Amino acid sequence: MHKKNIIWLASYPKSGNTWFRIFITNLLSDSDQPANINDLKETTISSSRKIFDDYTGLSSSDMTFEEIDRLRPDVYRMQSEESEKLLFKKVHDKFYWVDQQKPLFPSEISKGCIYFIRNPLDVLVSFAYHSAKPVDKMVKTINNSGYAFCDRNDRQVNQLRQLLGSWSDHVKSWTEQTSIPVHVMRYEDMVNNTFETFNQAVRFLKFDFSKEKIEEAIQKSDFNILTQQEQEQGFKEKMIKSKKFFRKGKIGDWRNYLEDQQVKEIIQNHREVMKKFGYLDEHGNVNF
Amino acid sequence: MNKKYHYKAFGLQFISDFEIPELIESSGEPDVIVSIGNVPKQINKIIKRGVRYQAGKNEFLLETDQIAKFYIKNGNKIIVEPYKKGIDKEVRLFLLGSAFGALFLQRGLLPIHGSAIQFGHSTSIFTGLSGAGKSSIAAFFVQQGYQILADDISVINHSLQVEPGFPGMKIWKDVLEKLGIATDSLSSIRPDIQKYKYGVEKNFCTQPLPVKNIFIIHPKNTPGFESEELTGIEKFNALKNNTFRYRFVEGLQKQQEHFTVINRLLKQVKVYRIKRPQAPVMLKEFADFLLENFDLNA
Repeated sequence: MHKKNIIWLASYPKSGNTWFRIFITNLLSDSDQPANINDLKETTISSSRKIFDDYTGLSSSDMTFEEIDRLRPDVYRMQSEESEKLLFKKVHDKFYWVDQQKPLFPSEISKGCIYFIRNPLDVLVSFAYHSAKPVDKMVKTINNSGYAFCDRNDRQVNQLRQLLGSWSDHVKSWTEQTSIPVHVMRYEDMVNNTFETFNQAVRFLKFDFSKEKIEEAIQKSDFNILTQQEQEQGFKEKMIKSKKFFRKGKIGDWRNYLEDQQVKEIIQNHREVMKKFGYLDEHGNVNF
Repeated sequence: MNKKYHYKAFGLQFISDFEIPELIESSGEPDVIVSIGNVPKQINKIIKRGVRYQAGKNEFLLETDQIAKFYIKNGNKIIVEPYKKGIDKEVRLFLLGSAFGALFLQRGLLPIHGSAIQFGHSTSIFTGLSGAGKSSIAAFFVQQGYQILADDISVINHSLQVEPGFPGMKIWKDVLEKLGIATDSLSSIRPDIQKYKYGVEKNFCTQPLPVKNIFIIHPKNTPGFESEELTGIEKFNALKNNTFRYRFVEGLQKQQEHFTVINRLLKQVKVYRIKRPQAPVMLKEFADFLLENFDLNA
């Protein structure tokens, strides 16, 4: 008998996933102090090599990407089976079917998925900063249907390969699949309407926390606290080339960085999904 | 009668139905018999199961899809059932990896996930998570003329010495390039993976050596190297967690023996957590840092 005890925290990068993981860690913690950003063990990444190697008994670094993908659903099944509590798993992979038939994330062990989405123009600026890459190059990345993390086969990469696809591919893959219940959280709502947005997520998870506890967890996950912690002790999830992980977190910052042509290209490629999630109005103007 | 092959590796004498060219030939009373045959579908009493293995007291079964199944019994018997015709380098890759790992644990040995290099009259082990750079730093030392005892799995015997494994390393293409080693004449571990078998016959230490230091390597996202000596429970946990295939231990019901050997080893070795910048990979700087800070050759 399977337990539905995994919650996938899925997103394209730079869309509020880490913020929510910190919130969840604070929500589940009994401590008076804010959670340490370097100790988010309640919400580990689903592409961890260590977990894969431990559970399969095999070295993922001696295996092909396809062989690894075929075993990943079973690794999650086994983790689910062994866990007495809810497991939160951070995910950057898009949702897809291994060998066109087995979902990478099995529905029978999934309680649900929270999908984080953010204006792709802001994602672009943030992602470029974090990867220390020029904006033009990141435009190509966001439009690239074959985009993946850790997909080199000539070097040891620290995580399993993750297929992301383009920004639209990613959003559609998670929000249009029907095997796992999905709750979509817009980054912009997390910023502008914080309590209501986080509260909705807590309700989606069917958690029984008081208004005060949720507010407290939000406060402990405040951007200023995260920046200060990073300043004092660093953040191990930061990419090596970027100066800091918690950069600005601002809405609409793209207006300070992107050229008209770049904006046009993104809109052209992602119009349908941007419209659907309220990033474009009926006249094609960008909201946020 | 079919030809048998005799080898010595990790302090054990092997007799095999098939050739294992990675290992050093040597005759002697066999400790372990390696044969080709049908493995059981299931072991007698499963204590712990993994996605592709079953472990029980003195019995272990491992499967690699489309390559082979391995059955390991009593620490002295390995049966290999290949999916394809014959035994090739892909079958041997998993035989010399996870299957050997189970064998060592059944024998109550302590396999540490990492590479062992000779410094002076002792050896130091480089361990850490997959991707920590264990083999890379070992390969750098080998290139500098140091002797290697083992790559990937360093087996510690009951006299608390590392046993020589076999004279071959597995090194990724990007690291080989950094070391100035051309890949043209090397054989990749598998067709779709640009990780190569790198022979180190000339730099292979054939004598067991006492362990002096264990370095646990952690990549970090800031510049500079850092080190910290571990003590107490942290030191114990570091050895436990860097045991090759630690999850097998419980299934094989070897916890007691495993803890005993770790506790004995703790008295002899120093364990350090070493943090190195994730990128760029600076092997020379890393080696210099280790040589300057730890008096390795003394």
